[in-house]
Amino acid sequence: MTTETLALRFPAETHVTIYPFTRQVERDGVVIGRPDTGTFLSLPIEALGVLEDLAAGMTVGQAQEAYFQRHGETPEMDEFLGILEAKGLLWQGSQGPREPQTGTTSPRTIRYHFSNVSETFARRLFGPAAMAVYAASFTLALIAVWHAPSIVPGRDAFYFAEHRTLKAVAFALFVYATLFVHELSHLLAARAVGVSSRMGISHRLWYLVAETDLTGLWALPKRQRYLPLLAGPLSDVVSASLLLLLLFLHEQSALVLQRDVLDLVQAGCFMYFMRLLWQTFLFVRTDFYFVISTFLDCKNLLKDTEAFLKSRVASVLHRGQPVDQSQIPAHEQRIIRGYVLVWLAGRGMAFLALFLVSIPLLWHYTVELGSTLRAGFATQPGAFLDALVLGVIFVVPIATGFYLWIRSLTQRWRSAV
Amino acid sequence: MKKFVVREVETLKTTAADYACTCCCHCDAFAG
Repeated sequence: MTTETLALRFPAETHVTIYPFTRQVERDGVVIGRPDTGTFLSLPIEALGVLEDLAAGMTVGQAQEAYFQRHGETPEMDEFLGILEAKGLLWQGSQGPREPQTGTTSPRTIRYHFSNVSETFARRLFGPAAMAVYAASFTLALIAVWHAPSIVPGRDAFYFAEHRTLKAVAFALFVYATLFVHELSHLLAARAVGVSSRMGISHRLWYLVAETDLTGLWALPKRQRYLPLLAGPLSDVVSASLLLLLLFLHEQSALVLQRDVLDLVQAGCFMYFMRLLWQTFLFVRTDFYFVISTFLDCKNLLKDTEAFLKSRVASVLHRGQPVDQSQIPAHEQRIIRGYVLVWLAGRGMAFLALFLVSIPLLWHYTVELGSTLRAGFATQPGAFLDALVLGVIFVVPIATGFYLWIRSLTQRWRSAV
Repeated sequence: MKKFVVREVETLKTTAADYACTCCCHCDAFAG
């Protein structure tokens, strides 16, 4: 059966309606998208002319001919327009949006969070005056540390010798509150550049995470994406700086912190160090990962790298199909080859830590806490409450992270089968 | 025929991990 006898989804006389889309010219093409559905695609820049002709009212055949006149080649339209239709960027006819055709799924509009926060207010939080204040607090903290290095807490800060359960509860509340502040910083920084976002809970491998969907940043020039991507770590740095200044004032006896408060301030400060350390785990999608992939003009670095590895394994083991990545621009292909090492080393270490540390610890905690809970409240009321509280604080988030990770693996396995 | 390559770009989902709780477990175990 020849191509001509196959029914085209978009015959030459078809009119299509193009949904208003954003466009950002990038290094290797243009990124177009719909911020309302969070759908963004990378295309060759010459494809933009086809979309503009269709949006101007040309039929598919007319737009195809116009492209030929400009570039001397006839573009393949059916598959191209089919992809855009599936992504909700266009639909057949000129009457406006319709119900999705059979076999296509139209993306749903996203319900954004805090979109009623004014852009003016958000811009003030990330404007020059505010940034000067943040820089000043960081500088003062550095000076304080240089003057009195002993104020910097170490991992012992996480060990509460007294009032353990009470402090663990207070500390856990502090952790979750500051997680929210971190994500809110991303959201507000995105708001300051006119982009709406959405918060949620997810996982990176087996780690439970709070996340903010800033996909709408693809509608902006590259240089405007960095601050929203870095706003979370920026808020962590500023917060840690303020805590270090508190510790410095205490150390200098300019301020007296009660013992329990001092313990929590030190733990909070160390927690910020750990949170910033997390961002350097570039083998998963962290804030720093996105900053670096944006800087390197990579469209989908992690997924492309995993496809590259899968392809390599398939060709070595002679099982499965190698993935054709020839359409990925040359500079991205070079970066993928380098990032493979980061991915392998990072995940290797993460899995080592999982099997040698995390799982044994989790098992240890679960068994101990479980036996105390089974003994019952009446037998040892204090220990029972301790176990209940520590179980909620420690075991539940870790177990939830594991559950989400395993669920995502089974979903991926099912869709691959 | 000229075929346009269409690539999906990555969803930009920034994160903060409750890494402290994992660290708490580890550090508590090591320090305790």
